[in-house]
Amino acid sequence: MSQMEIATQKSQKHRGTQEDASLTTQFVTDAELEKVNASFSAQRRLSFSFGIYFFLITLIIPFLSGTSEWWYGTPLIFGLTLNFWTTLLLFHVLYWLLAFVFVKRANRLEDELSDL
Amino acid sequence: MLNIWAIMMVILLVVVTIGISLYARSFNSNTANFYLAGRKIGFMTNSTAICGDYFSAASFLGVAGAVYASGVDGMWYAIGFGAAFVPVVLFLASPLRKFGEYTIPDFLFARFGKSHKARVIGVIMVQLICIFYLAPQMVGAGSTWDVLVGVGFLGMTPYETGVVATVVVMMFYVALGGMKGTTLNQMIQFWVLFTAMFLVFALVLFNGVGNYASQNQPLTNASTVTVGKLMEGEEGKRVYDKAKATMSPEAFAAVDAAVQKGDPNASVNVVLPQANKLHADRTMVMQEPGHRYDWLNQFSMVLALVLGTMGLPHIMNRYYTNPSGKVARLTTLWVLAFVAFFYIMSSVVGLGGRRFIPELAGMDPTTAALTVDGLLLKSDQILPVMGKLLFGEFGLGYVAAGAFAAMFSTVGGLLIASAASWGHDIYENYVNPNAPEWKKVLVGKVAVIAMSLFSLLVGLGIPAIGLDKAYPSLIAMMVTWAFAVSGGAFVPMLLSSIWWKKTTRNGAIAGMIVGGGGSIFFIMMNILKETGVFAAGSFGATLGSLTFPSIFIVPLSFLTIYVVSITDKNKMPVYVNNIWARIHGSDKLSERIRMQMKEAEQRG
Repeated sequence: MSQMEIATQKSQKHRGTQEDASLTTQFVTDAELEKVNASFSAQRRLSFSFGIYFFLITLIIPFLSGTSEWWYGTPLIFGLTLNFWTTLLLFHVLYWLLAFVFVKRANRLEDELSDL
Repeated sequence: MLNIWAIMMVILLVVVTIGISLYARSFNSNTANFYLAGRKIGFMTNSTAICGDYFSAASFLGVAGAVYASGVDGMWYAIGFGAAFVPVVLFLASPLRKFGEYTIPDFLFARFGKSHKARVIGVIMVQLICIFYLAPQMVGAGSTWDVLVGVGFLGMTPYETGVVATVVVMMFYVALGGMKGTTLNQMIQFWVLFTAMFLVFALVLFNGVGNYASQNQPLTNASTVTVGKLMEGEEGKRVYDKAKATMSPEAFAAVDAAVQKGDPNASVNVVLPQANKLHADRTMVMQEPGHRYDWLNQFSMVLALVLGTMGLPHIMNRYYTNPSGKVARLTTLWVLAFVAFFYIMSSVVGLGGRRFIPELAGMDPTTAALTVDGLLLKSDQILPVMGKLLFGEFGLGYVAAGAFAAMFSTVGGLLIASAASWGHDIYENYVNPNAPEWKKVLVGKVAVIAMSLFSLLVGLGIPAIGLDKAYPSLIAMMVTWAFAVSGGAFVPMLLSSIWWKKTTRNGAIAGMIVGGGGSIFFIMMNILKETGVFAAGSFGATLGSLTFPSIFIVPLSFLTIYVVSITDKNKMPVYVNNIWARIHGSDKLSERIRMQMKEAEQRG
């Protein structure tokens, strides 16, 4: 029995929208859905943990800019502050590395779905 | 600043653009090709095209100008633009592509059980964002033509000529070339603007950036004030006294001469030390934050830019053109690399301006006329001026071509996003669903022409209503408004719809209205305050003081979606599982379910 036939057998009617089978039929099997849900949970964990790192890293700059003189007012390298070097250079490198590690991990997670 | 190199290079760019559009014409046989280039754009082509879409005149000319004028706070602007693609890759790139539709309103329609209401509200939001984003591009086109070409044709002013020329070229190339032609053009335009920036950046690095920042000299900027304003206040504390203490005696002589004439309405150019908005007790220097933003605005500005990018329809539509979800992620990684390098270059050029303009401006009378005591009066002119000072007329011409490439590519992306929304979301679905393919494509082209003509009116109308006088950095400000509207209207809706299964149609609609409507409300309040409609200290002026509303509006929109969704009495419908598998399954599964849903719809 094909996947399509299995899916069609799971057709469920929903009150008020009987006329549109695309809304009342579940085309994904329970087994497929279970795999998708497991992958979704892992993907969500990955995306949101990287999202938290991203926003913490980004918002710590204005926080330190307002509170910490060692950050915004103390020259470190070539007479320039850590704040200066970070906004000019380090942040861009850091963001790219963060995205690179994320893409590697996200693609690995997606590979686990390759049999679907 | 009439420059034969600038005119030749801009004409060459236009000829190449039209040639590519003619070449790509044959690809537009159906709507999938016209709007999405057949979903076959590879990651390198797409990443450069996304960058072309993203780097507008505000990015190309404005960021280097912001760094030149404000130092670290200008670089903070670059961080906001640069970091914005990290949340795109984390949350949206792959799910949006896998879902496999044409536009954001299409996504809304399918995600929420074929909700026409959600789609129509999505279309309205897309159009509003496009208008908010097209407006600064038009102002940029007019201003850039004014500065770099400097002549008007057919009885128009240089500004009007710039707006009309840009609209005519854009209308022709987008309507003719569709997404395929626009993508190829954006790719070439990206390389033109990127290499123009690289040229100036390399010359600055080669000659040495200088030590203005590391020497902690007080930050000074040039500005224009009236004699009346100059002499206001008690002696010793007047603007006149500050200018006298800051400017060289030779430069200040011109100020004194204007004061001697005694006309209080006469304008004079002065150089003044800048105040620190973050630490009022510290001298404002280039390497410290605080020139542009106080503490709240340091947070809200970066959030507005970072979140706003995720909702820009012309950027997000590009993700549908990738062949797969994985390619969409890889595309974003390349975009991030290009964007990072571009903004690092912009910042270095801005910093270099503090060394080279005082040193070299005096040798060139045209450039000297743009400066006051060695400082540019309009910081947005830094890139063309540096191009000219370091590489002569050719450098200026190349930067001019880069500036027009930046405008063409962004306007092209916006026009195709707007046309897709009218032609595909409205015409194909509501006006004439059974129209043959040629007619659907034709409607898309008509939508491009209509939106182009509307942009023309907006571009010509902005100076007429005096908005350019109310905001000194109007282009950058208007771009930030577009980001605020897109961030409020689409970001909470997209994130919730993709990552929270229980998001309901009503929740998404309410979130878009609160987010998009709330952002527009605060922007309007700000405009009314800045144009003097609201009296200082009034309630309206207080509401209008929020320059970047995203910091409040985005959380409010999320909260609205959550509250409306959990109080919605509808049970989770059957189709949500299909949608979930399409968004979070493999590319193969997503495509299979998409096709099955389509077949079921046709059978029904």
